[in-house]
Amino acid sequence: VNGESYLSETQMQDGAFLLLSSSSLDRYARMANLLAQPILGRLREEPDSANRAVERSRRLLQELLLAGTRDLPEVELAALLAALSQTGIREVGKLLDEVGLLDAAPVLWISALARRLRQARVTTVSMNVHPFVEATRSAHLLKYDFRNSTARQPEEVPRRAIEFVV
Amino acid sequence: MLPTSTIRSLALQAFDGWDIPNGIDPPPSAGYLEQARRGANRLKYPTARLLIQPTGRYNCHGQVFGNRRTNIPPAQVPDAVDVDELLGKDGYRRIDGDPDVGDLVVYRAANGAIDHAGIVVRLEKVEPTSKVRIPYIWSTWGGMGEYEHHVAHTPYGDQVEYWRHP
Repeated sequence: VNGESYLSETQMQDGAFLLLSSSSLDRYARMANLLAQPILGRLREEPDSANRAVERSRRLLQELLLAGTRDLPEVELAALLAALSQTGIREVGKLLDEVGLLDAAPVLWISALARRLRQARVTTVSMNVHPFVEATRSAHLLKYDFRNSTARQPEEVPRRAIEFVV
Repeated sequence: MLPTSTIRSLALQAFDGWDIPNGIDPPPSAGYLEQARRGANRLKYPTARLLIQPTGRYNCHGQVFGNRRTNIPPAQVPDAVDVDELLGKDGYRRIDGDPDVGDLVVYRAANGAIDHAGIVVRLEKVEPTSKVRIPYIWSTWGGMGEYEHHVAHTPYGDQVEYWRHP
């Protein structure tokens, strides 16, 4: 794939081994997250680079689909998807959906990874739970599960940043 | 047109009659394997001896539960099999004492997920007069081929358990 790789040669080799030696999606996803760490650092330092990373992911995906079997672009793509899934970019949700729907031999693991990342992806959106507590101005970052909520009075439900899948 | 999955599966059942989801994958590309081997060499598993060359045909669970004929779970649905459940369905029981040749070894990650499985093929005394015997394992490292290795010399989970057929 033309263009600058997000992983060094050493990271590619280690990543190839860690991904290829996985027999479960759980381990595969953990290894992809390990590989994603240097990319996440880069995305944080250069926020504008996220769109480039999405673009590169699409190129790697095309390359992989043409390969006909599991091939090296899988390593960088797995790392990129794992890193991008932790950003709030809307385009990433679309990318994960597209990859998650693929059913082709070279991308079966990547596709399963995308589905798992999509499922786990959360975007923090601040919303008012009840105007009664607007004045508190206390936005807390936490997961708030309405189904398990025992709160009955508005006062018991502070303004929260609700995390939900988008 | 996108390539479609070429995976096929075998009729395979656990001892209790449960149909085990499985799939036979095409082998990874030579380039992918070469990079993965370099990664494995750098990460160093001193006692690991390659027995059978890499294949997409079976993984560790496919070696142990499917007699080297298929991947368990299939790559299309890599979370289709709960290996803990499969151990129970096949009648294995966890043993607390020292393992014996023929026992099954299971590697768990810190989160409790089963990352890997293999078979104890020999027990080696630490020194001639010692009562401590180190298990050596025969296992398939995902798509990286079959290895014989010291129980601790693998890229897999932190906890090791032994299981036995009644």
